Amino acid sequence: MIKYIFLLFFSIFLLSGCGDKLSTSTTDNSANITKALLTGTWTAKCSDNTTASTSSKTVLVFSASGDNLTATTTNYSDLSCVTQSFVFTKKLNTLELEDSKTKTSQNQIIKKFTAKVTDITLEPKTTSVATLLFSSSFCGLTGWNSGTETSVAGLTCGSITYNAVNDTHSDIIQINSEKTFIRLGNITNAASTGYPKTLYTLEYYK
Amino acid sequence: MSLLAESDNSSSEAGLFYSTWGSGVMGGYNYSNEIHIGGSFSSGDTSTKSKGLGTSMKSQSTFMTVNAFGRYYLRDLGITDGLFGQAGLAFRNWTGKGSIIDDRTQAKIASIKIDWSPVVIVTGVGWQKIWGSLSFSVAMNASIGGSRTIEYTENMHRFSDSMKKDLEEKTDYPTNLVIYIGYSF
Repeated sequence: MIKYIFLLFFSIFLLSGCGDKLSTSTTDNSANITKALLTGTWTAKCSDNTTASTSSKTVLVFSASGDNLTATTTNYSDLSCVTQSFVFTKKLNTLELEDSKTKTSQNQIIKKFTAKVTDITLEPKTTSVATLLFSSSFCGLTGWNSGTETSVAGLTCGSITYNAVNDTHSDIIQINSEKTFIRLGNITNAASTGYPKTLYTLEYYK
Repeated sequence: MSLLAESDNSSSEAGLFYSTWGSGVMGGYNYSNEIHIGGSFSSGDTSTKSKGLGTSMKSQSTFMTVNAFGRYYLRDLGITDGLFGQAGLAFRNWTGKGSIIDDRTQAKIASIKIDWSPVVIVTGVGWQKIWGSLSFSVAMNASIGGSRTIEYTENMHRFSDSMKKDLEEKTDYPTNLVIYIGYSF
C-alpha cells in the first residue's frame, strides 16, 4: 500500500502545476527627446515613387534651441532626387515638447509636441511646374512663378486644406535609443485629440 | 520476482536520453531491485527567428543540466517491468536572450534576458521496460522550488501585456519528458 501512496504522491506533484517562480522587471532604455537633442538638421533619404516616376526628400531643421521647426520637402521629377520640380515648406515656432513619454496604439515609444504654424509655402522650381499650377489655379491662386515661394497657409489645394497661420500643429516624434534618427507622426491619421495615431516609417538622420 | 535477477544481475547501467530540457547521458547504480541511484547530464538549445510588421525577432536559449536522483521501482505492480517514482536535485545553467530589430534601420526596438535559478528539486514518475541488458524508460519529471527572472528592455517599443504573457508562457519549462535507452553491465 505504501508503494501506491508513493506513486500517488509523485503524480500529484506533477499535476500540481509546479515550476519556476517568475519575477520580471522592465527597463525603459529609450532615449529622452529634448529640444537640445533635436536642435540641428535631420535629413531623410530620397524616397521614390515608382508609379509617378518622381521622388522627394525632406529636411527638418530645428533652430532657436529647438523652438522653431522648418520642414522642407523637395520634390523631384525623377526617381533619384536629382531634378527639382517644387518645394513644399512648413514653418513652425513656439514648439512645446511634452515632458513625459507616451506610446502609440502600436506601442511605439513617442513624445507629443505642439507648435504654431508661421507659414506654409509652395515654390515651383521650373517654369513648366509654375505654368501647370497657374493653368489649374492651384490653391485658387494664379500668381505662380518659378523660384518664388507662395504661401498656401489656410488654403485648400486639391484635396488638402492646409493649416492657417497661428494654427496649432499637433504631432508626435520618436527617436531610436542610439539617437541617430527620428520619426514624425502621420498627420493624415490623427485622433480626435489632434495628435497623429501612428508614425510615418520615414526616418530623418542627423 | 526480481527483474534484475531475471536479467543478468547487473548492478549498473548507462545510456542516452532525449528530453525537453536537452539530450544527454544518464548512468546509475542499482542499489537493490527497487532502489536505483542515478545521475544525468544534458544540454540543449533553442533558437527562433520570426518576422513581424517591419521587425525581426530573434531569440536563443541554452540549457545545461546535471541531475542527481534516487528512483524507486514498483516491481510487483505487474505493469511490464516497473513503474517508478523518482526525486532528486537538478543543477541548471540555463540562459535565454532575445531581441527585436527594426528591419529598415537595424535599430534595436526591444530586448529580453532570462535567467533561471541554478538549483531545483526534480520529481517524477516513469515506466521502464527491460530486454536482457537493454532497458528503455519514459519518465515525466517536474521541477519544484526554482525561479526565473525575465528582464524586459524597451528601446523604441513598449512590451504589451499580451506579448509579455506569451513570452513568459513560452519560456516556462516546468515539466521534462525523458526518453531513455540504456545498457546494463
